[in-house]
Amino acid sequence: MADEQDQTAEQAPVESPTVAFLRKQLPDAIIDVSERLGETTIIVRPDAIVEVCQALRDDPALQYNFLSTITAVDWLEREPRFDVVYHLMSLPTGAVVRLKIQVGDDELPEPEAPSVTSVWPAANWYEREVYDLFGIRFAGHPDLRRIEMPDDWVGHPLRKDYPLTGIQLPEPHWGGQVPFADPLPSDIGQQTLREQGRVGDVSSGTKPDAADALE
Amino acid sequence: MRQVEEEPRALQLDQSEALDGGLRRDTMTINMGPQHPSTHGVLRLVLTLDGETILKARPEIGYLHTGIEKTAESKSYLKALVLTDRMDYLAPLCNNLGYSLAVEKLLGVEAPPKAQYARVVLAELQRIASHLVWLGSSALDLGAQSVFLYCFRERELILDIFELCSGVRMMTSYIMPGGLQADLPPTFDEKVRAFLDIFPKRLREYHDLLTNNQLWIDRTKGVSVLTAEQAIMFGCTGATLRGSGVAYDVRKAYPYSGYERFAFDVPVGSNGDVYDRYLVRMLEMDQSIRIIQQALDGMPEGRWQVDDPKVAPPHKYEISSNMESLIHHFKLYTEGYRVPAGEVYLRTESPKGELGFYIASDGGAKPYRMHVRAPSFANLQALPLMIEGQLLADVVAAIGSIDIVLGEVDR
Repeated sequence: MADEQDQTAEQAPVESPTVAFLRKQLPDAIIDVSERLGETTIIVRPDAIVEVCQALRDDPALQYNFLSTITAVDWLEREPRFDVVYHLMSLPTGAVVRLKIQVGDDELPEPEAPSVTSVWPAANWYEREVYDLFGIRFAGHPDLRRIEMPDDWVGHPLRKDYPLTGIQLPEPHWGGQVPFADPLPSDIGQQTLREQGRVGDVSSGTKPDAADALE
Repeated sequence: MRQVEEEPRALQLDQSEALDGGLRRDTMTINMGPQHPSTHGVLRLVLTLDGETILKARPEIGYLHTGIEKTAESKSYLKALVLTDRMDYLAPLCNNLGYSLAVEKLLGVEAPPKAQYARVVLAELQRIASHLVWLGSSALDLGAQSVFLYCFRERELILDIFELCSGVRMMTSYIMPGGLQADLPPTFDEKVRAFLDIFPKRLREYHDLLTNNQLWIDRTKGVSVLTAEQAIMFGCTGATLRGSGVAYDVRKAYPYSGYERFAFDVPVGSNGDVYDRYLVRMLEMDQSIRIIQQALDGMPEGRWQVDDPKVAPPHKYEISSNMESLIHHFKLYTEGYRVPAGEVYLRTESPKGELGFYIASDGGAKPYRMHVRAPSFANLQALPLMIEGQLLADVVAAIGSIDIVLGEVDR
């Protein structure tokens, strides 16, 4: 827990070994380092995150072998919009660090970040969760599917522009959980089941194509 | 009905995969769950089987996704506390504790010593209660029925203590940012000590029923092995990690709420099988008793909440006699307190493993983002490693041994 000791050191901005290591090995990867409430946060360039994680895991002095969690924060007004937050821990030394990358631009409905599953297999489900709830795609992820919402769900619930009450669904809706596309912005970037002809339009009384096959 | 157009023909078995003697070798994919009694909730496992051997296992979750993280963003910090009870519903007080410590760290306040000691007692009682549910249900899965009844008998005693404190048996929300919801009841010490008198003998009984029971050993020893390296790489914590021989316990590694004051050991397994995970939890209950004993003996007198009217609500009698207290009370229960902007990740050791609360605040009265690092979520991810290549009948043993709670996995 060298990080904490550094923080309490008076007026002497002694950097933690983690930060010193990264400044030496991968100086271009670091955008910003901050120290608050005894926790070190390193903001890393998105394209360098895999390299940074690999270096932190493999360095014999640091040994960040444990990935506690990956999550994201949606800062709606900010550009780039999303923070992807990694919490690392070293079981041998007890050091902890928080890494952050900032992703998202207005051009893409679903921003992209590199996947760290090659460094820690534990990242698999965490990244699926972030993809499911925030719509951030992880490039190089072996199995990027929704994990908590149904596979045919439209939208990403933990985004700040997704209403807390959910999206209004017309009644009755086929299959019980398939939302219609109308109330959503058109740039959602997914083909809905209705566009595929798998569900009908309740308002105009048409049936889904699939219903014909059953007769 | 659609007309059958083709002429019916005799069904021919595909003999290309037939082995010597005409035996055929096919794989079969089955769903185990989401409604299955031994998956401890709504877990669905998609299993590809070759006979009784599991070739591939794929856990599917989300059946209990209630959007707790999203809901918390619309609640004041005090109201979001109630949501944390519902995640790991077998250990609500441990969830309350993790959340409260995270909010306190952001606020820059520290609970008074009495609250810290009481929190330790309550969290350890909760750990025992959670382990009792695990022990009873996982033993029941493997056919040991009487253990289940005994475990719930003892858990009842613990729930009685929680009811005494908070009026509620399970979803107590008794630990809150700033301290406790109310002072400990006068008979608290006596009741907990009465439990401590009874429990070690009962724990002995469970050991007698299972630990040296040949049937139990046959079903658990060498079953569903997880190596230390695998456990670390897949982010396992709690007894799942310690059963594999890694002595990581948040209470020792990053002490919180005064755990550094108490002497206790961290039981560690060596083989990483179901039996070692079983033994680790059984021995942990002994250590919890040790901690509770020390905390009761050292319980200081004093306040149970911080002396800060911006965080802790005023007494009832103050509200009716003091204008300022009335305003504080009104502000606390309408808007809530504002938390300085910043972010914090706080680890605690819940009965299931490392429970982490990541809270990002934008300076407002509601958490801008609350993420929960649920130990069951990570432990469940390692389940395929344990069961692939094993027999179908051992799946229930493996699921029981990682002690998942789906309310926490899905949140």
